[in-house]
Amino acid sequence: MSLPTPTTRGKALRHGDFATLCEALDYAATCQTGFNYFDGKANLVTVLPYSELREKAVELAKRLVPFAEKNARIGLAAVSTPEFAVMFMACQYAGLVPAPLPLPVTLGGRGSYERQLERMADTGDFHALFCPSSMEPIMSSALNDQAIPVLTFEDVNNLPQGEILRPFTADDLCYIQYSSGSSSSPKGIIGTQASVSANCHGISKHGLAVNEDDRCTSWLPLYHDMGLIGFMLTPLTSQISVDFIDPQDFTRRPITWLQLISDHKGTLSYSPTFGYELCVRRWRDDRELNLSSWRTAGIGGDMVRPEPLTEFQDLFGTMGFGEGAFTPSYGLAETTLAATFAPPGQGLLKHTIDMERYERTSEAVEATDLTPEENQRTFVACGKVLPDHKIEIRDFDNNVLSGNQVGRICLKGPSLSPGYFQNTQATEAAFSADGWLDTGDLGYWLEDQLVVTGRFKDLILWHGRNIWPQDIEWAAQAAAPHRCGRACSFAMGGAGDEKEVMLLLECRTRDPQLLDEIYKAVMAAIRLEVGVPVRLQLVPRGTMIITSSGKLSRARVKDKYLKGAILDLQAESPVTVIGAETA
Amino acid sequence: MSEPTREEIYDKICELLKPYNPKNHPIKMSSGIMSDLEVDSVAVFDLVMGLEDHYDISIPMEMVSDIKTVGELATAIKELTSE
Repeated sequence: MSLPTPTTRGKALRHGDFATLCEALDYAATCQTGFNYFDGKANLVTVLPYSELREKAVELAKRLVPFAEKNARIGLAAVSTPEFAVMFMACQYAGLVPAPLPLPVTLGGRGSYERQLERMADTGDFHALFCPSSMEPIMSSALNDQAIPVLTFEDVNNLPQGEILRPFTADDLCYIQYSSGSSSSPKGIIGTQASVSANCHGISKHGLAVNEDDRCTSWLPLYHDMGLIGFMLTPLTSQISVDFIDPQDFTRRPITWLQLISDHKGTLSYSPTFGYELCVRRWRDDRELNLSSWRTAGIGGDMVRPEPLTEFQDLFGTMGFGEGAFTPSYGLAETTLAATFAPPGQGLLKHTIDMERYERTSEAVEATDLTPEENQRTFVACGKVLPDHKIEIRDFDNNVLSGNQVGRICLKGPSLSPGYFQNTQATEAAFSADGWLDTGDLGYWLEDQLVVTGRFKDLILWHGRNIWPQDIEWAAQAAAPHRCGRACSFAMGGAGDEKEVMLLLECRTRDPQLLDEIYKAVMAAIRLEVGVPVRLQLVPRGTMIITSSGKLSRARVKDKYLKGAILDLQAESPVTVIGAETA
Repeated sequence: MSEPTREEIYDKICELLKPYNPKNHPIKMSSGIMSDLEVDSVAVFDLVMGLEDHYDISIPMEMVSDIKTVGELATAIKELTSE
């Protein structure tokens, strides 16, 4: 049986100080480290040292140069296998822009997945799409109406061999990423060699302060920034060995993640809060683990929720999980990946505030003994901003706020993306001409550390998944068997750990039988397409509140709902105003 | 383990679905797992893991995305166990 790549480089550690990914891999290939791929039961399947990754990528790049013009976009199925790493890096050596694509994840979700893929191919203007042969039928069927060729990994490896390489240089692009935007209108975030290099360096040198003994472990999907940048590109640019398991295997057997850390002395690994939660839920006490090597257990990708993390700490603390290992951080794909990190060893710095005051005056004031429990809410500090980067908290008139005043988190620095691919409107809405990004997230300062209180105004966070209300609304309108009007979806129960997802749908009819048919069809479609339980209420036409520019105002509809001012067409007596009991 | 019949697989699915079916909806071969029963995307993984462990198989994701009903799931498992 082969062994995974060692933790020891055999050469000096360099903290991602390269101008391009190709330069970074050229150096990593002289080290002994690399990528290791494990199955769902923690057995080693494939070893891909950086030397072999470079050799294969260069070989393949010579086939890709004649296949497509420089800067052509290649959709790439982001499977957690060696082929993905080879193809991604081959694109770098061939001057092509890879766009990692999500994979189908839910039971029966093929239909909505195909529609999502079609939109991505559209907005990314793909030259071709590469995928494993097992996914070829789904991909081809999704791109049915478009003249984009779908090539299996085998086909790609058999393209005619060319002679030359065309590596990206320091001023070139690097990739397009689709972790922002709803699946109904995806936005491709542009990564450049400069933004990726800046962020990888910042993460390695400052955020994680990578040392000679570090080893990464990851189950994160590679179509998401935390997986792609955090656990493929950052380790590659810092010559760290990585132990991978497939995200699907993780969801089914989360303890395998911890097993890998224990078996191979992993030191760096990240997850959104729900990953830690899943481990607690699935722990069966059927094995012995030693998690004492795990110095940085990063938290990112969604709101940091202290309760499940404390449970994880209590349970796995007995197996060596360190007191200060938790490292909350903040960032988004528009800043490549990371912007802030909690200082090493700090763990969860909690701040419990008075939510009533928060909502009334937009100030984060510490709760006292007199604050009713239902008005208290605990947030966790996400640390300090990376060197060379700046964060400002601003109000809606762009005034810079300080201290405990809550406002929009704005960011500036070399890790910033230049914008969204072929989408000037969205780019101008988020990126200002003077180099600031409006993240759309809300937060405040706790001394010199950032506290995030809400992600995006309308985004629904449910069990670690980011769900766009427009996806729910869109699915509802498509599924209704009788003509319906506008739909509006929003979350109930606070910022970041939504208890319930509400869906209002305007109906033209008042016939109880027709309403019942609509109710059943829409509920079934939402469970199937979105995979989230919603509370559906059928409402009369004209219920929704529309802004002057014709857009649905979810915040105002929610407010109206909470005030009990929205009718339920299926209530016993249709004039009964309901909603107050759920407020 | 000898090869299970489609009916045995169906019984196993019903058993594993029990915790997610508090209102005791009747489970038929034609029942949509996520559309007719109260199973969300997190619970589905519990179900799939339970079946994989029980039959010592691995259901590939591209197969999973095509499965909508209890009957389709039973057929998929039947195919995988007879390989």
